[in-house]
Amino acid sequence: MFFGLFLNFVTVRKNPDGGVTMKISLSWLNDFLPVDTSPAGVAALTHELTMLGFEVESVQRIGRELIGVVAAFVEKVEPHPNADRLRLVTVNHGAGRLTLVCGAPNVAEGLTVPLAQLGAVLPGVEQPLKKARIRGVDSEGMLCSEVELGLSDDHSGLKLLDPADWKPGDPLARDYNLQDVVLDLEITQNRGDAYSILGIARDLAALRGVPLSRPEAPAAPAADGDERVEIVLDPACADCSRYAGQRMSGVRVGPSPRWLVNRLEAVGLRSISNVVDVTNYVMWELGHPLHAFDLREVRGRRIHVRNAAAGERFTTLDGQERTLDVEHTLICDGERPVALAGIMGGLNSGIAADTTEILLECAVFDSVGIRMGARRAGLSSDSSRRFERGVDPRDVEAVLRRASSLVALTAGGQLAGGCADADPRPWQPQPLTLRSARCNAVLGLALSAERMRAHLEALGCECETSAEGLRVTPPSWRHDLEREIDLIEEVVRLEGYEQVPQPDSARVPLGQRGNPRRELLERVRREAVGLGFRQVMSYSMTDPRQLERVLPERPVLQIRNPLSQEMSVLRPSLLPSLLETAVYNLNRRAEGQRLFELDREFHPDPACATGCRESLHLALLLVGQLRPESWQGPAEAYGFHDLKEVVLLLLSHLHLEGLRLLPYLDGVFSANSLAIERDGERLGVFGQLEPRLCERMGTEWPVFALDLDLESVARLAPGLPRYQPFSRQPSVLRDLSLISPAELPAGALADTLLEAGRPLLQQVQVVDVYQGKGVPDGCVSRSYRLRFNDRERSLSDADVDPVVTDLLKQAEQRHGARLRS
Amino acid sequence: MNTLDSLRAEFLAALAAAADREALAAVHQGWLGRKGRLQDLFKQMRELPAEERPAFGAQINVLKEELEAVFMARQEELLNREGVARVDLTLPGHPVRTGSLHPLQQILDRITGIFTRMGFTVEDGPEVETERYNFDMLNTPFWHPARMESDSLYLQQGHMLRTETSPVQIRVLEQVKPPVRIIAPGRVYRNDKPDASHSPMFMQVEGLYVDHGVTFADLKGTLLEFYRRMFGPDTRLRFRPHFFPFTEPSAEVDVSCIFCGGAGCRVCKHSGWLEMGGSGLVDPAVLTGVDLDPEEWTGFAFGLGVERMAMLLYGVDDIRLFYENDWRFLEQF
Repeated sequence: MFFGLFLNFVTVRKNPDGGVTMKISLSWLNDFLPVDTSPAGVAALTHELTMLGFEVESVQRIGRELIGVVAAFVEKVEPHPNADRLRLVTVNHGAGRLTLVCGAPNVAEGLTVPLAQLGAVLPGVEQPLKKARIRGVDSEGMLCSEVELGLSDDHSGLKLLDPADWKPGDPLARDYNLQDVVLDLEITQNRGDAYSILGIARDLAALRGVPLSRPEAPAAPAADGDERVEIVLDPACADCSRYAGQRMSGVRVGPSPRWLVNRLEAVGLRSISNVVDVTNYVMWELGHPLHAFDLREVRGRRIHVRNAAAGERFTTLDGQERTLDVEHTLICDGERPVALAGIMGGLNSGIAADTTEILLECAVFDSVGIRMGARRAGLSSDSSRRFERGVDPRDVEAVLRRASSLVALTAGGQLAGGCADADPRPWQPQPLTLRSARCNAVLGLALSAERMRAHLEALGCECETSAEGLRVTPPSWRHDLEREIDLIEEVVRLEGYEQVPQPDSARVPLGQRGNPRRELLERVRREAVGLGFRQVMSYSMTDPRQLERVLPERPVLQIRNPLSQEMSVLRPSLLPSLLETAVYNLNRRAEGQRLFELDREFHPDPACATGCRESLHLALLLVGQLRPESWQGPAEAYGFHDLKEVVLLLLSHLHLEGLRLLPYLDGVFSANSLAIERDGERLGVFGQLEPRLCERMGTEWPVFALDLDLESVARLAPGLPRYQPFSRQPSVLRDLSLISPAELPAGALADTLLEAGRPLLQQVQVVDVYQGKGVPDGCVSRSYRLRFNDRERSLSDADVDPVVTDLLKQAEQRHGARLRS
Repeated sequence: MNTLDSLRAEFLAALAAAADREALAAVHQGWLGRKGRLQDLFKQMRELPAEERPAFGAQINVLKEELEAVFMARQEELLNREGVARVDLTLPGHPVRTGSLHPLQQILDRITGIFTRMGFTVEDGPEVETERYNFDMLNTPFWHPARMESDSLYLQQGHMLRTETSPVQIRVLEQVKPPVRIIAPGRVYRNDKPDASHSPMFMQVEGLYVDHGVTFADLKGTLLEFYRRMFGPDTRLRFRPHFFPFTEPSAEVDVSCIFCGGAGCRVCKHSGWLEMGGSGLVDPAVLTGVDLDPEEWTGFAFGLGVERMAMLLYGVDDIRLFYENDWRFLEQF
């Protein structure tokens, strides 16, 4: 049937499960088993289908009712007295004669055409037709084109009815009424057998326990003689296991009867011509794709099925020339290819208006072969989608009988000889064993073997009782029934998933391993939130150009088939996207940003089995206003020391010991940065990001960030804090203002003081930093608050004074610092 | 005696004259403090004959208590008169920057919290995966459409971004002998253009339980318990037959609509059900692949989408909002 496919080309929705959607018409389904189309009936059917595993994606009622439209015979056509383009037409409508005004160019005496009588209700028009006066002449009705009847958008002229078929007065409703319900079903990838009206009907009949009736297919009349085509399957071609062809002669190609068009249109197919429509119709009904060749173009009256040669070119009937490879299968005649097997017919051999002899093809192609072939050709058709899911290898005769019967009915023609059928590897049944105990054990049910047997037989399986349960032979159309578990699934599907009880307790295995890493991450997140940071989540994929702006020349993992350049590499650091987020929000009137992200970095690493080392990092960022302007004072921007406090708190809350902060600089982090190290291993870096880099990203605010390697932190396995006994004795405080060279860091002097003051000196705090009057140029005055304490006793001035003297001496000797007088 | 009376009189006069905290403190120090005048009386006591001392001591103590009480009253009176320093209550409060967890994190924490309490442990695995773990070991045939570049994202250097967290299950089963009862939350990737309902990256939680005698009934019971804890005790579940390569029988899991309770509304498209994710019994081929005998071990597996759940629970109608990180969005959670 591949003919006409390109006209029906519907983009197939992407479905990662490999499912596909199919429209079914309930009037069509009704040919196989009784269908109630009332709203309640449709709801019940929808539920049945859903619980069989066919998700109903939409329910659509379609309708067209023609009231008061009859066939009429045009008896006389006269000019309109007042208009050149209009005519006065007298018609016989069976019950009498009428005169009306008509503007259609094709109106002529002797035609049979549709007449909308006064009071007629036409599709899309709410008011019944009324008598009209057109250019001074009364019109007692209207002759109709297909547009007015809602049949198509063809308004080129009156719709012509076949006089042999239509007597004046026959209501158009006879053929053109349409009342149907169309369901959009999802067919899962394993159920090729259900990809048809028959397949759906079969499952429904099994569920309901009712017999399936098949539409009658009276044998087409046979012509004299037997002129079968010769069929040769190339033994090297593995993808065609059966090929049958039925010749028909005396065929008259023309439009399809209305009932056929209605059904095709209901399920989303377009009518092409009677012969092509029949192939589509039978495919939709029985699930087995067919193709019709114009026999004139099948040279040598011979079909040869073979593999394509690499690079072989072939033009499919959508007019596209395709380059094939050896994995494609070609249907050839005596001289040349005529169809791309299972996917689409050839432009050279399709049905034409003057075709009289045809060859109906019904073949069995390998599902994987067709799938790969269609994919390589970049061509998915209604035919290929069915072969991909597997067709019934045993229904070939029935399918050809149904098709030839319908061709004879709609296009005339006779069978020119019997059906030529090459079936070198006939389908073999594969019996399976179903252990009823196993079935119940897996499902948590207690079904009898008889009950299981009933379900499986309803689905077409042949069952025999065996020692362990059942010996089951699945039907030829169920390729998915290959193992015992497949049968178990069928049992529970028909029994109903809702019949499986829900237990009220569960066993929990003991001795499972924990996940300390994950607990650490939770702790880090909790700390970050506690310190006032908002968590963000960004895509792992990022833009290499953006990355280049922040982290130039970092090795990255590239996506081979990216969605866009913006998402074409995996981020090697969380900082760029965090910075981007901060800038994004600053541009949206967020005054200050305290953000963090905790996720993975991706680094190329051939030593890893996946080629990628994924390492968890915490990135934390401060930018903009620490405090917005308010009645309490002007706005204040974040500075390095806001970050420092946060980082030190975070590290201390994680109970990491033995950390050292060392100067750091790397082109991303500016000189205002420190590295966090432990035993020579760098755990992270924090500080101010390079201003030019931030400007490149779109902000002039100073940006402060932390990048902490949580993999290293996790290796240190931070645990619980150790309790330190604290002193209950009062402390003695002393404030010292020391003048020192400005280049001496406050911390260095504090360290000296702390060291010299041991063991009584417990803490040194910088409480003031001053430069100006009273302090020499190039110097700075810093006030240190010293806290002295002893665990055993209350200290007096006599204890503290000598210590202070000593540490002042040290400060002077080591740093040239002296007391400010 | 007179000494005590005059002392009392002097104290009362000084107290009456004390008009503020400082004066009051001076009075307290002068009379009642460690070096105050009452303390002097105790020193005088030592000069008395031994037989008079107890009576005198008692008198001093009585006086001391009396003076303390008067002092307290006076202090109270003064403080009451002074009152609190008034502030303008209508001025806005001091700004405090608070932190917050990302809404997806909050939902994920809720999900993992429930499963953890139900005896599942949490496992992680790589996001860059081999096709072997992402597809082969999960019984996904080489021709399966999910493997196509139009569906999955592959890396230039080979391998791919995992399309689900199921590979974690395989990795765990390779390392640990059953019973195994785990969930694997994490980021997964698909070749989907971002729009209101699609994202090339999203978060999934997949669960796996493999043990002796695990049944389809166990799957139903476990998921019912989870969704009841997630959405409330009246939640109902519907298991629909479906197909996944790595489970059989397979089921799609629907939850009775959390907005209308199943009566039908706009969110559930008047079906009464919300689709939550796939599930099923672990396919025997998957067990065989990790050297487990399907005759001995059975198991169930399930998956659910974190974004989907967050969108439902928070009423978010565009999945892209989660990864845009606009502060006006984040501050709402």
